[in-house]
Amino acid sequence: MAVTAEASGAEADAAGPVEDARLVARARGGDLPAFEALYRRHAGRINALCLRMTGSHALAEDCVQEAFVQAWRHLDRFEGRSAFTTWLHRIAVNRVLTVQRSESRRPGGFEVSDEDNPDPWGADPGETDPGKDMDLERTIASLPDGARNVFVLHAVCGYSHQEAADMLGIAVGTCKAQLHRARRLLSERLEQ
Amino acid sequence: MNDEDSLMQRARRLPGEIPPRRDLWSDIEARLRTPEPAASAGAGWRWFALAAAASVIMAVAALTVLHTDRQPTLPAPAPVAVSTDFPAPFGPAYSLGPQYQVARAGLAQDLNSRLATLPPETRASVLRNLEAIRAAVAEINAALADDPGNVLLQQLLLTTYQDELAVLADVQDATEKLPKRNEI
Repeated sequence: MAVTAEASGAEADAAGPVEDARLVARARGGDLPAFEALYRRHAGRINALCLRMTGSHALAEDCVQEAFVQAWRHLDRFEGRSAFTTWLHRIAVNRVLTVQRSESRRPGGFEVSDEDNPDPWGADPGETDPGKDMDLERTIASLPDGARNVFVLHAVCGYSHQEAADMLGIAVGTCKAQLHRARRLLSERLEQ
Repeated sequence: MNDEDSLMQRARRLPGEIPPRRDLWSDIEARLRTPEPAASAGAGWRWFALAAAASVIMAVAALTVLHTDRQPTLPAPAPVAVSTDFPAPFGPAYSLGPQYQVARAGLAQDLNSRLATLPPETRASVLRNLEAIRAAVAEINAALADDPGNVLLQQLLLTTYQDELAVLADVQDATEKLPKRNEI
């Protein structure tokens, strides 16, 4: 079942959390095929998050890989208080933030660095909706890190300000301010 | 409906899933099948202590270098053999920037010959300093292998590499300011 953006911040679908819990329990016991099943269920959603936050296929895939490795290693810390997908999102966001900090230290700052694919939203338009969505994706990618992170988590993934602020390690007020900034910049840039 | 509400609605309609360009599972599985290096008891704090020790030694070394610079003496060249091919790893999933590598290689190039021209006490301080920094780097990398996403560890590693660069730069600076035999 395709997961809609509206649902991605919470449970993927009605049966999703139950199936996730079943797979997590098996994976905790060292069942690698069960963890592979979790990867298959969530890789697309985690990659979408990472791609939108980093603006780069290569960086996003690095983040996805690292997120699943960390998830496997720390499965015992997953207490089931939130959906598995939310827990996984938190791990991925942490990884993205680390990458963003690392990239921003380099001379020239953070840049989209896919040599083979300078525009991650232009490589294969057949995979996603063409036209306006691509314009919006590209414009989101052009936002400053702080504004883009908040916009992706709140506006695209559907997390509340509190959840997004917790994930990003910022105050709720900062989260709201960054969203306002993102919306203003997006409106201006989309009108051009 | 205003433009901003429309924008938010468009954002919510963006695809929730975008598959990676390639299947990442084989890479993930390979990493999961590789045993994690066992974290020794107290290792989480040892690197911190080593880094702190390195900072203290560096401060002493910097003072010594400055002191030596103000009181130029002719040091007796001494044979020194410090490894200059010391790797600068940043955990298994990271690499340091090329500009850093170039700067480091440049500073390390003549390290042994430069060290040989320093007064014995200064030279000993620098060597202790580099040894402590490199031990700290090894400890931090071992901790990072266990916890690659630890931002504090990553920042500490970067700082430690910067400390090493600063020591190498101090050595270069000090040896360039010392009078050469043919200048007397």
